[in-house]
Amino acid sequence: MKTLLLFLLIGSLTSPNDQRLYESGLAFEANQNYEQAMREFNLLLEQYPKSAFADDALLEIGRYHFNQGDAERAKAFLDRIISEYGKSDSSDNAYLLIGRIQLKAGDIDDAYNTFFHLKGAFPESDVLDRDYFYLSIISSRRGQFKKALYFLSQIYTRFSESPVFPDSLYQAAYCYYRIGEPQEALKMIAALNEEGKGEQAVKAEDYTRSLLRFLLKRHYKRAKQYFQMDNPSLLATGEANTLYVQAKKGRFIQMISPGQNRRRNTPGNVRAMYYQNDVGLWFSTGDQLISPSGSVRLIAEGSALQDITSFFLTSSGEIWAFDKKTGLSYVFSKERKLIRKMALGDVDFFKIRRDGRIFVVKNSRNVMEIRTLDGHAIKQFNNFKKIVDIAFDPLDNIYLLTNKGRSLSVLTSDFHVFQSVQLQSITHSSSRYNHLAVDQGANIFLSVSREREILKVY
Amino acid sequence: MKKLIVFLLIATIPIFGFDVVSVFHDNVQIFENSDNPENAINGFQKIVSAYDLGEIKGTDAFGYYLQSMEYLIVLYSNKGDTKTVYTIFEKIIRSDPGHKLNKFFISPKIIRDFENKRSQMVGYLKIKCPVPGLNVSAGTLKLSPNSKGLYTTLAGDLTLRIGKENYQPVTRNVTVAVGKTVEVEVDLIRTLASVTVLTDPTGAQVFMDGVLMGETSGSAPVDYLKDHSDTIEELGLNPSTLSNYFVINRVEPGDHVLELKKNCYKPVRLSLPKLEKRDYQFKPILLERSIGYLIVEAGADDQTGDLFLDSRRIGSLPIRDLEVCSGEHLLKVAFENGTFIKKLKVEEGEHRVVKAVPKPTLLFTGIKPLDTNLSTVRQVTNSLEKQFQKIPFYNAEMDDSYISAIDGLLKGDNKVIENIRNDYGQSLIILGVEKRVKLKRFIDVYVLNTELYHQEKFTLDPANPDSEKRFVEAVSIMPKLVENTAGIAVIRDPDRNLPVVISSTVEGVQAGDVILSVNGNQCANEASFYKTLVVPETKLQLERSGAALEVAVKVETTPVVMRQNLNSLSYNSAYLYFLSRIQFPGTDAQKAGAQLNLAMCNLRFRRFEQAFDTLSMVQLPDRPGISAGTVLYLKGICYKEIGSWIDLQTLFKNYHFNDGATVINSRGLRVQSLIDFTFEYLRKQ
Repeated sequence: MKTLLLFLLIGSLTSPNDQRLYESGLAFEANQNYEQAMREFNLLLEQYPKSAFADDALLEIGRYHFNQGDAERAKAFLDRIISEYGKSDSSDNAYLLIGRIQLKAGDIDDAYNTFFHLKGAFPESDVLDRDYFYLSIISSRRGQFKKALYFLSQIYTRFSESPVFPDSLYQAAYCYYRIGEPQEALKMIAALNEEGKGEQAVKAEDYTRSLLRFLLKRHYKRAKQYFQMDNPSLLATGEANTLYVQAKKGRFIQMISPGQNRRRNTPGNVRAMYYQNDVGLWFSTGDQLISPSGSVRLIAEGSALQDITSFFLTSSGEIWAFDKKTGLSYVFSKERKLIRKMALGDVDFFKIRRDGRIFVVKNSRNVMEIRTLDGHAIKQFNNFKKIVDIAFDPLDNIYLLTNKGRSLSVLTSDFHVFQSVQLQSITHSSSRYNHLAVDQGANIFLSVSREREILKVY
Repeated sequence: MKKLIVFLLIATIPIFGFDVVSVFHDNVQIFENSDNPENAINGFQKIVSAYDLGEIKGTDAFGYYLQSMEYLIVLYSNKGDTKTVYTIFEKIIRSDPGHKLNKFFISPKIIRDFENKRSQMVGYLKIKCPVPGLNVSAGTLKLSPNSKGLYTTLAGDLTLRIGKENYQPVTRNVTVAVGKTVEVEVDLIRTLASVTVLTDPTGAQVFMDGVLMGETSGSAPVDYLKDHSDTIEELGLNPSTLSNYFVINRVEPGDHVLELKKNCYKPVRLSLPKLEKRDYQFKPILLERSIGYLIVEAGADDQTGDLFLDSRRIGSLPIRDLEVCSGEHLLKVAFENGTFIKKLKVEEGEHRVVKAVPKPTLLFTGIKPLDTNLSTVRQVTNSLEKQFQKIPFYNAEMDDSYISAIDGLLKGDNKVIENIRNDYGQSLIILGVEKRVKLKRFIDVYVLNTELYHQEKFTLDPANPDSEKRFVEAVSIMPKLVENTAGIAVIRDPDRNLPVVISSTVEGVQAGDVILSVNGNQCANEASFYKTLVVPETKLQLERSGAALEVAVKVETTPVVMRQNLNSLSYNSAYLYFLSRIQFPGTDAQKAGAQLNLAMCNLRFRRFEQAFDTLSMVQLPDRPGISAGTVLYLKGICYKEIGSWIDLQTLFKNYHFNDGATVINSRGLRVQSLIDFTFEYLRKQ
């Protein structure tokens, strides 16, 4: 307190009061004393609304609320910068944050317009690199990969020192792969290696392995034991190549990552698992979904869903759930309100791919239907029989466990068959597998509850 | 009180600044030429008093002391002041018992009177010693022998000290009666050796056991030349450049090393083993010349510059076969558009060719302080000067004109920039302004150049050495202009830890080939693969489907294009660098690289028309990699930046260059793809 008073006293002797308030706010922020910081900024706004620091104060407050997850409050302050201060020094940052809020909320079109406006209105902005990055993300989500590459090429040719440069090259590799140019995709990863972005080395290696596999047609040939445990069942892969394995009878989920194994107990039998980078691992115990922060009951028209055997989350936080009891598919908003319910036919399970395509396996697992998030069907496959499980790699290639777990089919992201093989020729055993997962490096993991091992196919 | 102090100060001044020589000669003039020669009495008296009081000392001062007294004798004698004359007689005899008065201006009568007085005061010593050339002193008085070999001394009890260089001195107590001669027999014991050298040429530094003893000088005595003419001829010495004796006394017996050094001559080292207690005189030593030759030319035919060698102006370029001493030299060529500075070592007999290419001058105008507390400003200034080494300062005094120069530069005052350009040529200008943020002091450093006004700002935190390091690197480290390429793009296969080919325009190399070695060297990754490529041909050992094969690929040097928004670069500094590389290019590829990157600087400064014009001058072939297609694409960027989308589309629609043209480097994004993406962007807004 004494130090603060002394600082304020000195400040008042040497600089104008509005500046003093702004600087002391920054100082509190630097010390992570956010409450005091916000107080200073708010005081500045109240007492000196015409100050040269007023827009900066609004930005700091808006950014704080954004980081706290309070999008509405954040937007209120950020909108004031734009409406009250026009083209101030903080306007570009305000636009960027507003765009991010809109993106998180799932308002893709609004977010795109905001980011687009930013680059036109502020061609020399310090945040142009991030602006281009978000524009590329939105374009990718819309399936406009070439457009995404246009934005990413701006980062590549101009901003090699940007914090988004590594991610933009990974994104560019993905987009190049999706437009059928795996060689150009590899050049993006090679550029990352040459730029010495060493902290991404594992991810770069995973991308390289994956891309080389598909470019040079390096088929899956080998299998080895990856992990031993009783009754391994459902599989999911997560960040840093962590493998999540449900122990069917043991009521826990084993989390296996290089050099580390952990366990998480489950309150009941796990019916489905889903992992997404932003939200972590979720699983269904039938009548509720368990997330890292707690449990969620999904109520549709007054009744809770009873047997959720398949679910996923979209990038905007919507939850899609299939209730085996009703046979219907439900879509809930981020706030857990029912948006719609759909009868998609005789659904066995569904999964979502990174690009938002939903893969619905139905009709006793003999049909695979691909739908958009709006629910429209765009493609259907009838030639795969008894599809037991589906997984996707970061490049959107598709891995199918078919023939009741005896066969493996790998399709490229645009549905060309890369490899179709009897698993016995790889595993040298007659075991059938019920569950499948794929990691960042396109390594395949197989499990079946009656075996004691999880196999890695590569 | 003040007045008193001033007076005392003034009063003390003459004692400290006494110019004996001037006073003596001035008064000799008065004595010889004036109508009132007695006016010289005061002057001569001053010299005598000064010596008596110890204010002037030494052999020369003693000489003036004695001479002054001689003049006083005459002056007082002319005045009829016999008493004073005799007082001075006594003083002279006491100072130098054997002194002879100058008969040229002193009358025979005075001389007779002096001799009479002397005969009442002195006795004589006859010293018998087998060693010649003795040093004899009686008390504090140094004694010299007269023509008869006798030492004149004051009568009375004396303590004699008899000695000689390299001998142990001897002390004797004697009593000398007036007019009598006392015989003293002495035997001196030799304790040390002496070494005498002569050098050709003169002016060589003499080192004994690594210690500098002095320099040879003068010229050889005539007697020596006569007596040693055969030796001189035999050794090929030049009698006119042969030095006088250089004697090193007090040399301990034993082993020694003598070295002779002179600029432009080879050093000579002599071992002197087992020296005994005697005099050694060596044959004269001939020093051999050690020179090389410099040929200094300008980097381009139409460039003129002035050569300075070791800060001495030599002349205008070109300079051919300039004889220089072997060793290190500092070479500087002042061009109109900058300077070329190089430290070089010239070996003996070497003909060293130097191509001088002007580098823009780096100029630091200083830091404008926040207030009177200059500690931060000084700290940063000293540190930057050290890191940039010899930054020329423009008006570095802390006065108004210096402060206004900084203000002028910040405002973009063309006059200030013009002055700098006139004084220093093409220059990079760095200046700072101190500021305070949250009680901490920072320096905003601005960088601009004399060729165009576009400030860049870097903020230094004096407490963080990294921020300064980053700034210095931004100004000093320049981007690459060229690289070696072979039309092959590779990526490190993590499973093999070897590069694998992604794409190839070369016959015999396919996608999927694993690179086992490059010219016999194993490369673990992309960077080492590209670094190991050698112009004009490189051998690759490949593995394809398990089989090994060898392919020789053509390697070329091609330009590299830097990016537009690097924070780790000062574009002002880079601008001048590229400009100089265009003015004085090496290969075509280097020139093209410089032009392309100069265009990128212009893009960075948002000078789109200038960027376009620079790109129009670039001549590159139509082929994969950085090529004609690259230039077209960058021109499109210029259109894009100014919002001329129609022109951009027209340009891109007519793209007819190689499909493999790229941006940034040979394995960067393909121009054709970028054009494709641009149209996709424009199609769906």
